[in-house]
Amino acid sequence: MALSKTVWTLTPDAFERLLSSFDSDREYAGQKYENTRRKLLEFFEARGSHTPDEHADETFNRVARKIVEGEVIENLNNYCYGVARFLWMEASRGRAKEPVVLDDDHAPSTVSGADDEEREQLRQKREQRLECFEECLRKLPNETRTFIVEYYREENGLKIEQRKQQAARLNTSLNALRLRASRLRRELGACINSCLSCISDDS
Amino acid sequence: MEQQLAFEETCERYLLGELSKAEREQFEESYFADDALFDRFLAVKDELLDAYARGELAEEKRTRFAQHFLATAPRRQQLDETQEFIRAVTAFSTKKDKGKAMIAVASGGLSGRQSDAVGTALPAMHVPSPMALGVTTDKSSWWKSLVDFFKLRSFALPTALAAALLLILFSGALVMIQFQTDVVRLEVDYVYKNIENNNIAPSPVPATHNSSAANTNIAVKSTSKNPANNNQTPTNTNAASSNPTPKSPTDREPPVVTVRPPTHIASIMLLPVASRDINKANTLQLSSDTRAVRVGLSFKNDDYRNYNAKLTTVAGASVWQQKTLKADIGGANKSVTLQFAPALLRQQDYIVTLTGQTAAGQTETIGEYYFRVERSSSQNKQTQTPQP
Repeated sequence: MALSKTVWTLTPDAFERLLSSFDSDREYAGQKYENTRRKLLEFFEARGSHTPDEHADETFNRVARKIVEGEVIENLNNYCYGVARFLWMEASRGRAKEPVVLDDDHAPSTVSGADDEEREQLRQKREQRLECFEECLRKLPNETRTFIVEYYREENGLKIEQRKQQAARLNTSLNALRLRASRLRRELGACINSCLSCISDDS
Repeated sequence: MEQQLAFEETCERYLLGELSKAEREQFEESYFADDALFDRFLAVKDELLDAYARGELAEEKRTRFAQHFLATAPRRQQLDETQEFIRAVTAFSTKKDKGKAMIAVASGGLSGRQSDAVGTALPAMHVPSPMALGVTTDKSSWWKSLVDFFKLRSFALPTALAAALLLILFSGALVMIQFQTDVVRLEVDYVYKNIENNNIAPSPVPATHNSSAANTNIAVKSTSKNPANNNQTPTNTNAASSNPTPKSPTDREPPVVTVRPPTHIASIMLLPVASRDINKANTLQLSSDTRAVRVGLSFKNDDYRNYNAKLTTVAGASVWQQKTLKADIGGANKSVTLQFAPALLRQQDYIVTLTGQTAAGQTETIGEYYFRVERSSSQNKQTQTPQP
């Protein structure tokens, strides 16, 4: 997707000002920033973006620039949404002029064409990810770990029915169960990414 | 409840690209303004991905999901991550269950009553010598002495029987541990086999050994009675671990073998043809069970350094492409094999264009291949218990 990036670059000071626009408390501001970023990703994904990360970053760049330029923003989330919509329209205008980009990264490497070294790297990467996953899972309190394992593990039979039983046993609604599982999974994902970055830093 | 269902429906329609422009913008404004609502939306999205990964979506919704949601690489990546997550959780769970079983065996692995019996039998393993018990050593009546021994020293009989029982149970437990170890090894092998062999969404069931060569799919599952692993009557696993009541290995049921219909890899071999006629030979049947598509392209031509294949619809829309393919040689013919996810294909006609790259770096078209995709509904799983 064509994306005309701003010539303006995000400075550390501009980023700080963007963060403090979310909240005066830096920790909360970080959480709110992440949450809005996630919303932007969903927005661009829903529109078929092949690079939602890039689009979300560019949205923040533009918002930060406006803040630095002195624009008073009352509702930052709404403002980000507006900028994202504008950015997408802008990107869509250039889309027709571009050749169709094929998703090469989705193409699986075939047996005949795959490189052994590449395959070994992939295997190691997955192994590391699995190790990190186990480490993160072990860090969870027993009850939480049991919950997530029971919720997600593969079973013979319909999972939906099993989750209903799990909800009944925990005396909660299926919706609350799903929300909890979804949040825990995201937390686990963050833990795994942090663990993987530690591994890559070490190596 | 109704509100929740309506919300879920809106989320799903949003994810499947079925909301009108106005509805979509209204929904987006809502989730940008409301963090709690956005959390609920993410939960619905997770659930949808999870259901697709497990093959639990209804056929019609599955098709819509594959056609719209999986149209972009970032979302396909999310599906891969979901499948990987399910596999990792299941592998962790299996490991944990195996660990519990080993602890149970090490501590007797028996029911409360049996455990008590063993508890009293263990000291009796140290059997006193006949001399110490005052038994006669008369050789002519050894059997009589034996009878007398059991008659006079009644405590010795249960002692000996308990010891024998313990030995039998211990042997049985060892066999079960070996069996479970083999199953876990099979699962791990399967996961790595999938990782090493392809990137195509493998079956999300790690306990499934997918033999693509034989085109059969057999899942072996240990029917451990550990409460944490019992689907029919799930209980709190914390309570289970604090008060374990594992059954004796001899009480365990035989392993269940689940046989799945051989529909996981759909293959077709195509020849370059001059016309776009569609017949049985170039029609690819897909079902919801299909996990991968293999398309062989046969040709007679000079050597090329490598080959590129591009899949398009007959209207010319690009669907997929693969570069730097290598050819397999079979007799006078050569072929290249493409492998990709069935989610890329709809029920329509496709063209694959095969090109070769010469040593000089020039690209030449080798041929075009036409095929039709037909989708059918999935088959039911069958379960059988093997005969001993």
